[in-house]
Amino acid sequence: MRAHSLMLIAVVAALAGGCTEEDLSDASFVSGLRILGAQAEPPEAMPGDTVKLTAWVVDTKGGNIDVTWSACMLPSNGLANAGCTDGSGNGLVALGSGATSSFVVPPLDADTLGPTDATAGVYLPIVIHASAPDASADAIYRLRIRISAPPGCTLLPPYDPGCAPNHNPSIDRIDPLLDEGTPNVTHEGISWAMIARYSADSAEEYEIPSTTQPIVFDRLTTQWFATAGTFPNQPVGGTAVQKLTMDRALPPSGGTIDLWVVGHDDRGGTTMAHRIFILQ
Amino acid sequence: MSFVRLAARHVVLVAALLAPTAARAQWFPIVVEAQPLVGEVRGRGDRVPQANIDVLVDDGSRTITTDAQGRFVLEGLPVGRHIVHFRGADIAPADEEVWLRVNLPTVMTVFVDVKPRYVSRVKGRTVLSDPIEQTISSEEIRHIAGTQGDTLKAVQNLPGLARAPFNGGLLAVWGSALGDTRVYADGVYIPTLYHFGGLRSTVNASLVSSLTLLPGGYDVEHGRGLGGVVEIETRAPRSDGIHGFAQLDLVDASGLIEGGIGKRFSFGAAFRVSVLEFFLPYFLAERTRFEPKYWDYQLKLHYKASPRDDLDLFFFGSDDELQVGLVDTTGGPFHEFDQHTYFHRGLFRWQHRFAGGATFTVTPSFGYDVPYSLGVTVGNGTYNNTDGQLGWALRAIYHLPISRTLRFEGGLDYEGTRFTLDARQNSTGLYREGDTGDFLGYTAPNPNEAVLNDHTIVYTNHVAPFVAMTIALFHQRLVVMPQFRLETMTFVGTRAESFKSSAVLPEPRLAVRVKLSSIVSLQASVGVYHQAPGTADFSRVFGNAGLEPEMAIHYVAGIEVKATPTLHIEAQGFYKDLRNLVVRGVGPDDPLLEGGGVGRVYGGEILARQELWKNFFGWVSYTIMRSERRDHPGDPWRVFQYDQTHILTLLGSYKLPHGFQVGLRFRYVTGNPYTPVTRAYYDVNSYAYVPIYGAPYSSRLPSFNQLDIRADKTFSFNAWRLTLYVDIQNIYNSTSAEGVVYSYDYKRPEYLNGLPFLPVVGARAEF
Repeated sequence: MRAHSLMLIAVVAALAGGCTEEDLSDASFVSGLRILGAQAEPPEAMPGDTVKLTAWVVDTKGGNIDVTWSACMLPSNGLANAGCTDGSGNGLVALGSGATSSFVVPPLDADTLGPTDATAGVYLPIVIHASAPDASADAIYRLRIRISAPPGCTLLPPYDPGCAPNHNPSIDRIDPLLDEGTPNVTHEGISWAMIARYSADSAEEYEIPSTTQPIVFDRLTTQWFATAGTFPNQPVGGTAVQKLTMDRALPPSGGTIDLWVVGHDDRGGTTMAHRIFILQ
Repeated sequence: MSFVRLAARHVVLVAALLAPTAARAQWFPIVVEAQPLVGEVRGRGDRVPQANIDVLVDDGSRTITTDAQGRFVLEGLPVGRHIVHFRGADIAPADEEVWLRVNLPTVMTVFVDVKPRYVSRVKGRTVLSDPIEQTISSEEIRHIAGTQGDTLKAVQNLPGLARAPFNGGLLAVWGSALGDTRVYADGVYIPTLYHFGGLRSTVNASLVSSLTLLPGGYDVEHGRGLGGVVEIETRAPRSDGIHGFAQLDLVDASGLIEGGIGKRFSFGAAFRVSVLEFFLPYFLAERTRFEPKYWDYQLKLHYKASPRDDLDLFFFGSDDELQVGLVDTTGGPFHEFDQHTYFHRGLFRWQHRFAGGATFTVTPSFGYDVPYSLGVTVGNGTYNNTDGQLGWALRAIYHLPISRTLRFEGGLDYEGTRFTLDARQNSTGLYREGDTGDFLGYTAPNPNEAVLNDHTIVYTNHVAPFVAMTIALFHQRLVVMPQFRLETMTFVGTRAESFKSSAVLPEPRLAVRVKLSSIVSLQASVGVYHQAPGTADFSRVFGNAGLEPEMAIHYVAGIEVKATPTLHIEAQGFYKDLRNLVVRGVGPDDPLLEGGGVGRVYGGEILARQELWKNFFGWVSYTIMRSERRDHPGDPWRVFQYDQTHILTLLGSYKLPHGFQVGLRFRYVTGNPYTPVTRAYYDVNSYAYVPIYGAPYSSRLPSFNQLDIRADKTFSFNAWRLTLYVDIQNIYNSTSAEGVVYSYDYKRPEYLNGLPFLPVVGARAEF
């Protein structure tokens, strides 16, 4: 009998037993130091290209945050080599520091990048280390590297449909919230039904060779984070409704509640939007 | 009190004058002989004719014994009232009143209560049998608490088996890996014993006559497994009329019909189909889809060609389908799983009994299996892994008793397959024992990890002739069984790149049994065993086409004490030396999989078993064990995934009056090892935390303890029987940890507890 059968039994037990909505919302409740995401611009680059890196790091305790960037140059299996994440620093090449940093993609070979993932891409793992006065956090952002073109595509423009390098998605607005910089007034117990509205070109076509449906569109996924309240689901589809209920960890009246919305496509493209609530 | 049906075809005046009261009969001392009293005796509930029942009239002055059809004829009884007594070793005493009348033939059918036919036996205790073997009868098993009456689940109560998480059905015998213990039905290998990892057995228990566990040191009839052997022997369908049952509980519905056609032919057909999918949605969270369905079937035809020849045709199969959709609690994407596994078998068996006591049995079989098929969707990523296997096999065994002191056994065990693997998955493939991983070792496919494809076809042909001698010396006080099996394994791959490999593997084995007295016996065995690597491991993409068979040497020694005619105590120690185990390659130039892993298992077990005695049966089993592995030379020894130091089982069942029976089972087991998470980092692309694990299986779950109870009430009618039962697992709601789950960032571990207080109520009607 395979272990998978046991897993399925375990799923039943977990679902019937203790897997509650509150459990699922924990990942979206921000308290203390937290790396919410990162962005590379552009999110798909060739060796020699200059890439701007941005880390979305918050500390609800308000301390100074130091961010350092390193590239993992050990051979990858798609994910970062375990040697780059064991805390030893082996295999890491420093790229810079600060919440925003730029670097030039070095020459890379196929052995370092490893085999392709489900979207036919290869990646350079970039290690993000964030430290606050009383905490630290680690994350890895994998930058999609274009060292060869998918079958039927060209490495350089002009591109056929499904062959262009990836671009970051972008969030135009979050309905029904006001734009960033303008607080949204809220009250205890209120539930906000929100939708992240992406720009029309956020979900791009791309090609997955050797599959029954080789041309697919980016599947946009939205993560929701807040310093108070609860979300029933995390994450949700790109334009699905997300509900935030102001029912826990609320600040005193007049205090603010931060909301961060992070969008992902399938190939490492990311975007982030920030909104503020004022509790009355 | 027995029920009597009297059939009177005519009513005459004389009878009316003679019949009114017993007192009047005494007033007429005239003795008039009546027509014969014709009767038959049958079991209540199943209508089985009862042979060899003593029939006594009044004070016993007239007696007769029922024939093979349970019938009797008493001639020359005087007219009037009589009390007919029915006595037999296997029935409850019954007394019936009957009136005999002149010229009026009287026919009576008596339904008697047949005593429970518990045959609480440990097969292999005779001097000419296997030294290490546990067999429990299906009638006994049906009343064991916690098994829901499923015969095949009861094997988990025997010593030497690791406790399965969630009361599942994994077979980790004497510290061996899950796939190392082979399951046979009527001598034919089947890929799985249970639906969904332990919910129900895949062969309907009603057709099973015995279930035998050979935990180690077994004889040369079997091989190709480093662990133990589980043998299911199905019975011949009944030929004494039409019988069957229907059963329904919250898990599934099942049924059986069997009977004889003519004197030589009998048939039996059984089925089972799940119903739990109709109840599960009420217990599951929103945004969760869990749709399990399973069914199985058996059709057996038996033909007694001659007094010396039996022919059986047996078709059976099992099908499990599961669709799951669930939210990743670490914040990852929605996962969808589609699993469909099944097997189908057809076998023909001819057994011939020679005049001198020799027997010859040949069993050709064929079948098709999909032992593993999984499709997973995570976001835009689709993954699948499907094993398919067309199989054919032949087993032939010749037993020749040469004298009282010498017996010869020889045979052939052949299995061939055409195996196909279709896989699109992460490069690491499926979970392997020794891997780090999430809860219970399962790690969902990662869309950001490399995805590879393979389509592999491998032909395997394994043939093993074997011989064994049984030499009984000193009035059978010393029995020596030298044995030899020559295993030849071949593997031929045709896609994507062809390869061919073969191995000739001699497997000498020896068993010795010394009978010190009528009460105490000693036994010991040693043997060499080989096992083919998993056929999917020959994949050039996910494995290594150059893998060679794994090997084990079993050493077993034990003592058996028959303390009373019904109380048996046996203890044994064991050591397993495991070599050339398939493990993951770790070096930069290593293949993905390679041989070279080693293991060692050592321990002891004791079983004290009370056969049915004063309406009670039960047993206590205890195993102490250590199972370790070393994956690569120079690595430290680590414990096996299901290493359980202490395994204690106490169970008993007591038969009460009026058809009631109660039973209980208590278990205490050391917690399973698990691999702890030492730290984690956030993976931006998959928006989930990635754990970093410590040494494999370096932590251990808390110990397990649980009490189960079962109560049956059987209503016996003349032609059928109804049993209502409640089987309550975990009566005091013990919170046993079955695994570890973590908060989204892996900073807060929590135990995932096993099944809570769980009552299963059901009904079973037999006829």
